Amino acid sequence: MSKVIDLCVIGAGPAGLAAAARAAQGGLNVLLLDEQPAAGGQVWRNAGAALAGGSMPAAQAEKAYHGAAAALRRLAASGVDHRAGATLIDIAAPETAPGPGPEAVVEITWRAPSRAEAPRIRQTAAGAVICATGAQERPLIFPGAELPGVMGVGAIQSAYKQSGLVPGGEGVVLAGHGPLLLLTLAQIRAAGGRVAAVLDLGAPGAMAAVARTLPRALIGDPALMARGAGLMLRRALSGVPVYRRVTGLRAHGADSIEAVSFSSAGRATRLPARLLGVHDGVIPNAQVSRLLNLRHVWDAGQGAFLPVRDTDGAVAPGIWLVGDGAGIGGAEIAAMEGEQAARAALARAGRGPDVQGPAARHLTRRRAARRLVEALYPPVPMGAYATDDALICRCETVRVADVRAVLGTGIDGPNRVKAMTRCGMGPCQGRLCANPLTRLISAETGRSPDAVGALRIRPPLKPVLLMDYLAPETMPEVSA
Amino acid sequence: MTVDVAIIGGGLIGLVTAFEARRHGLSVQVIEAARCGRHASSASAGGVRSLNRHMAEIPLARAALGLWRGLGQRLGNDVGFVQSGQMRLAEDAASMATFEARVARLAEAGWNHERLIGGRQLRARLPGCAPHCCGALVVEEDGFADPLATLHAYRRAGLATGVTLAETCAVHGVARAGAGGFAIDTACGEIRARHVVNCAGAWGGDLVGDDPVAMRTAALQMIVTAPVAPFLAPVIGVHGRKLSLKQTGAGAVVIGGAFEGHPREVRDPLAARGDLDPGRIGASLANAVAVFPHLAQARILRAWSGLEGMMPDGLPVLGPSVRVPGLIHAFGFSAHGFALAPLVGRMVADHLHSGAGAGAMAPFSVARFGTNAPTRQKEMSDA
Repeated sequence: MSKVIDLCVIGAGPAGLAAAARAAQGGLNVLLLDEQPAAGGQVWRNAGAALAGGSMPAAQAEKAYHGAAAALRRLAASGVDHRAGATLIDIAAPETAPGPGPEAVVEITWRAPSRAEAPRIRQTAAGAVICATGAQERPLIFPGAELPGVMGVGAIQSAYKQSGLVPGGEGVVLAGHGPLLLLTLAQIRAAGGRVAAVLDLGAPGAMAAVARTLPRALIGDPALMARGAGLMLRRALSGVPVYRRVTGLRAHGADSIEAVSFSSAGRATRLPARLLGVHDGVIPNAQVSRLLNLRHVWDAGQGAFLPVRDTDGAVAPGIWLVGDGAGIGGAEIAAMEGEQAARAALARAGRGPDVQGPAARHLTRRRAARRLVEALYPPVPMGAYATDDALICRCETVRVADVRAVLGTGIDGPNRVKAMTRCGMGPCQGRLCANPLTRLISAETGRSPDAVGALRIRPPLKPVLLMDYLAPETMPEVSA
Repeated sequence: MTVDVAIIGGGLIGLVTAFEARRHGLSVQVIEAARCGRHASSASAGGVRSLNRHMAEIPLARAALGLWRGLGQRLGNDVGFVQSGQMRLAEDAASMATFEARVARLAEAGWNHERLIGGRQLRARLPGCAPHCCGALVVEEDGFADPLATLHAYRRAGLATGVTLAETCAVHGVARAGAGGFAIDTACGEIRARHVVNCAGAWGGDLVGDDPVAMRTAALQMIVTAPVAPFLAPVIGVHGRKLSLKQTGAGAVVIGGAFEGHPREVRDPLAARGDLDPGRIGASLANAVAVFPHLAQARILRAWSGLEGMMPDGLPVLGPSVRVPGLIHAFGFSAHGFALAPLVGRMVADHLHSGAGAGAMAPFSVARFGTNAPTRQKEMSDA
């Protein structure tokens, strides 16, 4: 281990950008590792190019990248060592340290963006780490979900932001619920695309919960509420057929999707479909917090496990988890959390007072607003779509029926199910099955998600080539 | 209530012992501090190897092979045993000379299961291996099994026949109680037993009473790749390299070896774990491509670690305690206990039942660590 850097920030979305810039401004030397080719994370994907007049009209770009320009300018001025295209492989927390102190060094294993310098797998020792690894879409488990042409609306969003592409032509169907579905619908239509139908998978009767959370939400974040209302209005005006109280969703097709069938308000319906965008909200990407063996608690509102954190986001001496990766809150909350963790890291390094900035109060208010979204769009219950023939693990072709078959006789947790069925052993490292597997076992056994637990996550966090580990002298000559 | 046998440790050795003891009609309680098979049993490559065993272990390894053949049927659940053969490659003439000497030494002792093949035959059987490899020691009737399937098969068979199992139930202490019995203080209450079997793996050294043992805790590292085109039937070791490598039926390449990670929080049974060492993962992988260059293009999917007890001479501690009557040890398998497990558990159970088999266990007695016991040389063991 050559030199120890002050701080490593993982993820260059709103939370990571704020944390890295604040810490660098405070005098820390900061390494910012991010998997994407450019800073911005998912919500500000490709912001730099788009705002410079690249992939979409300026007016659309302003709307899509609210807040991004300032964050990117701040990064550029901060002196942060930003490695775009770097992949996190492993994090080893210091062995239960006797107390906080600079001797507790975190070992980060990552893959460098370029093959030019072998070995591509690097190890960096950091005095502190702020993890801001963001959200992922909650996988929706229904029969036919694995057919080409079925994708999360997040993927449609990525294509739009990266390349200005929206689905065109006939047979575009959106199924699910939540703000991102509405946003995608609005963007497709604004770009001249057509959506054949929207299948609303939302639970009816969420209104009581909405009434409970709405007042605080309005105080907490009027801007978010106004944007939300605008989106709902636009959907009403769009003239797209909306099927409500949808159950029994199923995608059909030989080599790719050709049709969707479902029941709407009790009536069986079948529509031709060439592309099906699905969405059941977003959940924290828990790969890092699981890899760190942190304690997690199930959050019923988010329908996901959240790591247990201190008020400033600390999870261990010298390690912070911030942004959507620690609990869904959206870009603005994420940026505030990033700032807060950076202040704490600065204080720990003796570079500033250990005070909570004004962000703390704002954070409380914004989080109240978030509860409204959760109340409006609770996760689709597993039982509604997870039929026996639906794939729960695409990597290893494990069906819901395979999991149901091994439950009982002491096989009662995700890791035992993994050992018996291979569910979660494939290249996605459980990203697509960890959350549904916990919920499925909970539903089948009647035990709480906390009692059921979650899949253990193993490094490497993303599959890497064996040769990435090799130093030049051990690289075989035949390899390309 | 007093059980006939309390087995401390729900790894593979403990679960086999439990199943076999129950077959003798004994009442059996397994006590596991975490979850069954959490450590060495899960960080096993599943090698069923009699090749290149320490001379003292050869009789056990050969006898165990016979058990593996019918094991799935006996337990009523598949254990994934494949008689693929095991090969130990030579990369130079000096290694071949060592192999020849070993074959001669085995013949003197009456063993002829290890066979030497030359470079031409090696290339015919392993077209993917590097051109400098010049021969191999082979045992055709060796192979591999699926460690998780094996563990669960024994677990299920044991539970189905009346074994009692307590998980997340750490043992705090073992005391003599009354005439020839034990009182075991555990996280789930006191358990009384006539006999105690120490199958505690990496924690076996905590349960030796006054028996003198110097055990080291190791974090075994395992690596698996995404499926690649079939190129390898036998399980591979290499003379002079820390490496074990095999390809599963699904095409995944499983890479192990003796490169160790770092044991963490060993004193806390639920938090105890091995942390991987990325540098040594790299060293393992470098060894793999040295003999199979095309694996440079394979994708690494997953690596994991579990804790194991390593004895100074690389041999297990197996057999009755020399100081505590009623206590039997079966731990310290030093990262090559998987192949022996079906036999070892049966030997311990037979001994509990009838006192048989003391002679076969004698070479592995804890007594060898006594002040007068000779130190055994670890010979050619590649784990």
